[in-house]
Amino acid sequence: MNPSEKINILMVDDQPAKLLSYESILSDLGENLIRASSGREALEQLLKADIAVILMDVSMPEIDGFELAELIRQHPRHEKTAIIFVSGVHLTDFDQLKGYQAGAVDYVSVPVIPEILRAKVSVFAELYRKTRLLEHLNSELELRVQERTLELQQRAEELQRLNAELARSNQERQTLLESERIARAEAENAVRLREQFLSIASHELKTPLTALIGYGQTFQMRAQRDNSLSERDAQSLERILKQADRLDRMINALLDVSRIDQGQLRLEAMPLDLCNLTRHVVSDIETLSTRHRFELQCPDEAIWILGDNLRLEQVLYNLLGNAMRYSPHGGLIVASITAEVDTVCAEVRDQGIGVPAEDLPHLFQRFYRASNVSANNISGVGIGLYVVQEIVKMHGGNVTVASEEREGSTFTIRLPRIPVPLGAASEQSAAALEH
Amino acid sequence: MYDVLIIDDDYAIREMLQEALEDAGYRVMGAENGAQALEVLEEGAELPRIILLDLMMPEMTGWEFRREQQLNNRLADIPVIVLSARSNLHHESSALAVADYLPKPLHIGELLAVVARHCS
Repeated sequence: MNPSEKINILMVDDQPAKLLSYESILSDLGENLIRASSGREALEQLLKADIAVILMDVSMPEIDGFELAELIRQHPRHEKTAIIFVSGVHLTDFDQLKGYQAGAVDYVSVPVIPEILRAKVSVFAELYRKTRLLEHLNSELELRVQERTLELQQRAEELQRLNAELARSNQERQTLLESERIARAEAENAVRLREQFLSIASHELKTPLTALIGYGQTFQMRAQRDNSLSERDAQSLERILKQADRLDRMINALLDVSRIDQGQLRLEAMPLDLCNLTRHVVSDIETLSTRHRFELQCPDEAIWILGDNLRLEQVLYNLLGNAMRYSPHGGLIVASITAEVDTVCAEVRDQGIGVPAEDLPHLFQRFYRASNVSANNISGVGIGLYVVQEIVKMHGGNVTVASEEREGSTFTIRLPRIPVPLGAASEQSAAALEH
Repeated sequence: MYDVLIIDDDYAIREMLQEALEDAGYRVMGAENGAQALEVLEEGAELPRIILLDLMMPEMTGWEFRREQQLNNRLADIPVIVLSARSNLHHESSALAVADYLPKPLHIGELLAVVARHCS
């Protein structure tokens, strides 16, 4: 309620003169004065307006002041409305009690002393105003408390939701971490197992093989010295040793694959003459077959690359060995070296069974074997070319294949060429002298 | 009296090497590991002319034996040939400063040639 707003004061008296006199006394208060000349009229006015103070004559015809007060009080809206009784007769204590029971608040005796009436009305008016103000503030406060409570509730709910979300994502993270931990442990275990395999393959397989080959060779040497074996026995022994060598090469190839997989294959690169290396490998390998003719095409001058001698030798042995194995009916095998400005090409060409077109893209995958090998009864594990490719890649080069089934295959290695190293010329001439 | 001391934990390899070397006229002793070899060397009145040394052995490995040998003035000069299936053998051998090395499986002809070279 606006404090400057006028409040309503209801004056109830059956005598118009008295009403007039109250009006003149109270007009100074500057409030809204409403007249009622009977109890009925007073009740009507109470229904119409919000009344702050009721000034009423106790003795009135029809309904007297106390009865009216009781009626008014019955209405919840006016339970606490201030009532000032005006009484012509002196009020006994009993009457006063009656008045209080009816919820009245004060009395004024006749003759009415204007100052007292004015003061009493004014006090109630003020009380009304303050009460309303308080009510207003209270309701506003309550509204605010409600608002704040709602807000807090919303925040609490939001917080709860966030907490739940956090807990969930924590849980998810925990699960993720756990599965990551398991995966890592599994991966580490796999690496450990592979390393274990490497060690088993190199030590446990090679140890009996060493004894086997050693005894075989000792036996062979003794037999040759004493001439104690028949030709047939000697040939069998020769074959036993050849198969043992084959087993050794296979173990080595598997070890190479394992090392490549683990990134443990290391190169010891130094400048080397690829022509010299190829010449050496071809001269070594051509003694192994009588069915094949070998041809080496090499420029006269040295072709220098930076490479690991043993590993590149392995590459050439693999390619030339393959050329032999995959041309079971023999034929020409050509190894050629050609040099460009900054690359060197080493090519191995055979006239063998060739590679079916559909196998060509997969040929360098490990354990891959072309579809025509079994029909030709050529055994193998399918790791030679994989190892070749990995070693060549480690040298910064690449290997490609061109093939026509039943016509033969050509494998080409390209490696970066380097300039002639310092001091190489004298070595080269020395090497040339040796040959 | 003996010429060659073989140090290898594998019985079959020791026997095989012994047979191959005896066939070629050498006198041979065997030891299962570095510790046993040191015992043989320290207690024996005579020293071998050459030692064939495996690397991966229980009790005392080839590396440990080699360190002990080099620290012992009486033994330090005996040439050692490493026999091993390890992949980076030439690296390991140069680190061990041994006279020679041969990868397993061995080629007996090569072994005899190397032994002959160091025993002459």
